[in-house]
Amino acid sequence: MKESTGPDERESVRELLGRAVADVRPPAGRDSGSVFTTAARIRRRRRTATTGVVVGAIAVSAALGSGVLRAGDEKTPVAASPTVRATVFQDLLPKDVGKVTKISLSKILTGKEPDTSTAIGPYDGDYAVARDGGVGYLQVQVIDVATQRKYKSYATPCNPPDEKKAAVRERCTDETVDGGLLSIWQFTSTNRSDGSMLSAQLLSNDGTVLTVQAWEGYSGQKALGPLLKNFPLNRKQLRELVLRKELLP
Amino acid sequence: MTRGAEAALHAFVEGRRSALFRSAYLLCGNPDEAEDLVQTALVKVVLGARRHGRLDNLDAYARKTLVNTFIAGRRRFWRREQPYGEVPDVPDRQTDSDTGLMVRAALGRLAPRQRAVLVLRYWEDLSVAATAELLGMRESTVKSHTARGLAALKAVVREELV
Repeated sequence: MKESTGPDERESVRELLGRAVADVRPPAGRDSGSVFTTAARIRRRRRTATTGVVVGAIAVSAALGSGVLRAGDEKTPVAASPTVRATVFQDLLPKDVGKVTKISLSKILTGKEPDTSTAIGPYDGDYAVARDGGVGYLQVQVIDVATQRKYKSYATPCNPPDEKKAAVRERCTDETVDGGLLSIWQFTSTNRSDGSMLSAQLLSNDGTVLTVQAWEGYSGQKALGPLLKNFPLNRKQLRELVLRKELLP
Repeated sequence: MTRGAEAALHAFVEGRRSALFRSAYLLCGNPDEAEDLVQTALVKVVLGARRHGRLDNLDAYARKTLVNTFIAGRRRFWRREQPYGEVPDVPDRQTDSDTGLMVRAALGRLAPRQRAVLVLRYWEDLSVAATAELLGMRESTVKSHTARGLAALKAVVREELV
């Protein structure tokens, strides 16, 4: 399609855009210092998380022996191996959940590395769960919202401020647990190519938010397999997983 | 990272924050989300600058990070139903003039990439080639997004455009 904008029209469009932002001011509460504080915290936690995964992976490897790794994997650095990470994560899941593999949905669907700038948990990331001929997904993420203004919106996940989100969150339950508020809700997909999703959020008293999403999967060219017939983890299993301390930094 | 580079980084974050916020607001139409976008982009810039020792063009890096973070947040279902972060796609109706409101509403109806193209081309004043490179798309795609975006803007605020 041809693009034909002369200088006048160019100025007109810019002026229009200028009017759209004319009266808008950034919400109060953050300053430039918070950028460096957050960056420092992420760096510190990444190091801690990496150390945690290294120790965990080495411990599992030592406990289970080299049989855990496939032949030819001996030279793979244990700490960096997604196979080992998935093995360690699978230990936190019910026995009959299926075969768990560490993946990156971002990489698969968009070809880009996932955004890990705000993730601080040792098991953060995406996992494929294969069973009964289908593939579903588990997504784990821990973020620190204690210093963020949107903390309030996490406090009421069953009544999110955004009406669109509120409309699609079904069977949402809140439960006070040791150290925080646990909420679980369901999204029922009306799109045949996307499966439904069960989400759990644990808002800790210290402002850390752990979320785990159990997704039936998706179909299409980039799918790793057909949709699962049900969630990778049911409500009870998801609840038990989210309450595992191992997922927190 | 040298002391000079660290000082430059601080000056950049301090100096560009407001400008990035305005671009972010045009992209998402919501001040809270715009603030989050800017914060995320700047944190990435700081992390990237410290990881690599220095970045040649902080401004371009920040702009690219901002736009890509915005687009990534609007991708597929598995991203949209993130339980953290509220991303209402409707403009804030309590502020600004009627024209500003109309423009934001028109932008809100565009696809994220079309919106990004308009903001980069007309607000950030980037060329077609620079926009294409930043968004990782062909120049012809940038042009078609521009044409469609402008048509949508014109339809809503016809009297404002010559």
